[in-house]
Amino acid sequence: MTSLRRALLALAALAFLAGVGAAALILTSSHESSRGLAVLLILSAAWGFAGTGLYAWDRRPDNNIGPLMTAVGFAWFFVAMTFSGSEVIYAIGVVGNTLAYAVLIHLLLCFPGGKLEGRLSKWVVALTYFDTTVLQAARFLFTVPNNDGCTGCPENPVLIAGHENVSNALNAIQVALAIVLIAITVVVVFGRWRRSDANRRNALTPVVFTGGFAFLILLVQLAIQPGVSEAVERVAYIAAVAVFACLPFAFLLGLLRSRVGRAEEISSALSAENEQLNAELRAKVEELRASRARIVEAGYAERRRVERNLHDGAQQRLMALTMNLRLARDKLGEDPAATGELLDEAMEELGAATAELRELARGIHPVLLSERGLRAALGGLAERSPVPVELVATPAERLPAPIEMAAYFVVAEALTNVARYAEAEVATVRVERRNGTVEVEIRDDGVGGAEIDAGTGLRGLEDRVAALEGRFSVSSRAGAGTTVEASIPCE
Amino acid sequence: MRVVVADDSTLLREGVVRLLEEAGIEVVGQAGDAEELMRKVRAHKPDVAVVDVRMPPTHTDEGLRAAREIRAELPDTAVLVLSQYVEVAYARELLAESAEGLGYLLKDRVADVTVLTDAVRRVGAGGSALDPEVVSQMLGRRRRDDPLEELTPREREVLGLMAEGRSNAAIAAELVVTERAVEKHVTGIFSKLDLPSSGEDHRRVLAVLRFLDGPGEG
Repeated sequence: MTSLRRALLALAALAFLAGVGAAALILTSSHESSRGLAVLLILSAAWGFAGTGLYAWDRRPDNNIGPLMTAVGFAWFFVAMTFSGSEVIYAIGVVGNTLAYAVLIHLLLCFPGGKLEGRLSKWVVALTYFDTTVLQAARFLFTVPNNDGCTGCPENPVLIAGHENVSNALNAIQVALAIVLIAITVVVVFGRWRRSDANRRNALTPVVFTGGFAFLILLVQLAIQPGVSEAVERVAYIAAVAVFACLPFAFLLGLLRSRVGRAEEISSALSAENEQLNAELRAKVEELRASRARIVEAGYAERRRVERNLHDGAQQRLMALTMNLRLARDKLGEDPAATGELLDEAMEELGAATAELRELARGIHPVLLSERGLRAALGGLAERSPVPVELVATPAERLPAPIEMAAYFVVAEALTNVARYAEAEVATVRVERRNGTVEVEIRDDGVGGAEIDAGTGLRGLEDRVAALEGRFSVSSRAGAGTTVEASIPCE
Repeated sequence: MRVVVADDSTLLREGVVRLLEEAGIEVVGQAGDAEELMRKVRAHKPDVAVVDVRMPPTHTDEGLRAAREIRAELPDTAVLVLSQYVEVAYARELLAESAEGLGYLLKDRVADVTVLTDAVRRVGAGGSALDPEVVSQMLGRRRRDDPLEELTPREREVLGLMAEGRSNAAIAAELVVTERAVEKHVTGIFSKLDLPSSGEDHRRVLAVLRFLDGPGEG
């Protein structure tokens, strides 16, 4: 799970718990009559925004819409706090009471791209936050809850008493400013909707209409605030909350329909994928560089081996032969018996030198392989192996030469290792061509414990196979035998 | 006995010719490649063709192919194949259908004139000759379900020498036993390998083929 996903799940849990707490607060409230309705409305708005917001956040991590929607959801919990009988909680609730509307306006103005465009939008959003935080807090300092239409509300713990006219004045400013800001927002969003192309309009439509309706109701609510009729006020309030509860789904729908968002998502996915591909490519290049160096080194090592074998073997024997022949020539005529012996020795040396050269040539290039293919060459390997070898499967047909070579050397090296280290009773060899690959497997029942890095020639095999875009693996638990596997693409 | 010798290396070819002529074998023709070999063989119808495996144009297995062609076309001409190296697979391929009148020897053996002339005479007489190197590879191998598993070590030894093409007398001399004892071993081998009763010579050849049986698949 990504760290973002974890954080989002934590936020979801927090929203759930806050909702439960809010419900408890409202249901035990002393100053609210229709508690059930309030719980329903507030929870649907809070959980609606938080839930859809977190979902949007997860789907479009690069877009601010998700976080903003989540913020709206959490801001709704302030409203729930105004139902508390505790002075402190009540006070916090009242101060944060209108924050949700501000975030909502922010959300509307930056939908669906997630960024505020144009100076007007930025000013509107800034003033909205000012109106709902600074002015809201300032007004509360001078407000006596019981006189403000909240019968049974707790006392104001931070009240500066005797300045109710200040409270009324601030309230008037706040409402006026809110009406202007909401009006501007509606005009801006509606204008944007009208000017946008089909795709963008597709995204904006649900938001513009639900949001427009919500703010219309809010405007009505604000306009009638002086309180003509409590019933009308109440209906407007319920209607506003109900519409607000629907809003998050409108936002989500708009966001998911938005090609802009989609394009961003695709481009972010593409860039992530691109980055991963780049990293993989770099790793592969590094790997290739290392394996190329090892192949070159293996070539040099092989030359050194051939040189040493020639020098220690055939060359020494031929020198001994030369000396024997010279001695024989010196003794010619004077000691026929000794001459005969020397010549016999010379012949023996010569025979051994020839045999050594033959074996050396076979090691450098397996003639049987190039002339008769894998089946015959693997048969030859099996014949010469000191450990019994069972050829389970070998390809009857000829394969491309590089693949035959690689498969042959994998089997040859693996069988050499079996003979040297495995203490095995039997080894099985399987070489099969299927589904566009040649699969090579050498399995023994020996002591196991082989490792690619242990200098047993397995690293060289890995490079040989990798050079053909193949995969190579060794599994060798101690006591459980060794299995060497290679699979080489072969169309 | 009349022989044709084919080898693209003049040095080796003339060496072989000289050795054979010194042993009283008549060399009626020489060839430097497979095509020339076939021409000479068709023209002279020799008793034996001594053939190098690698010859122009591809220097791979021209000799083996020529050997099969000669055996198919002129059954009366035996073929002795000489090779720089021996592979059991090639021996098997060469003798797959019949080991009669066929031989497969390491080229090194020409250094020992009796080995070479013996082999030429044996295949010329319808027998077979397998290089001791092939035989030792076959005897040294270990595998499961080996048809030779039932043989005693001594019988395996005898079978190996039979595969090389030695007569009972030669085998007896090699193993320092009586000819009678060798005959007993040979009878034991025939019955253990479940070879059909036919002429002794034919059974010997069948035993060699059984000896060469490839490692089975599966």
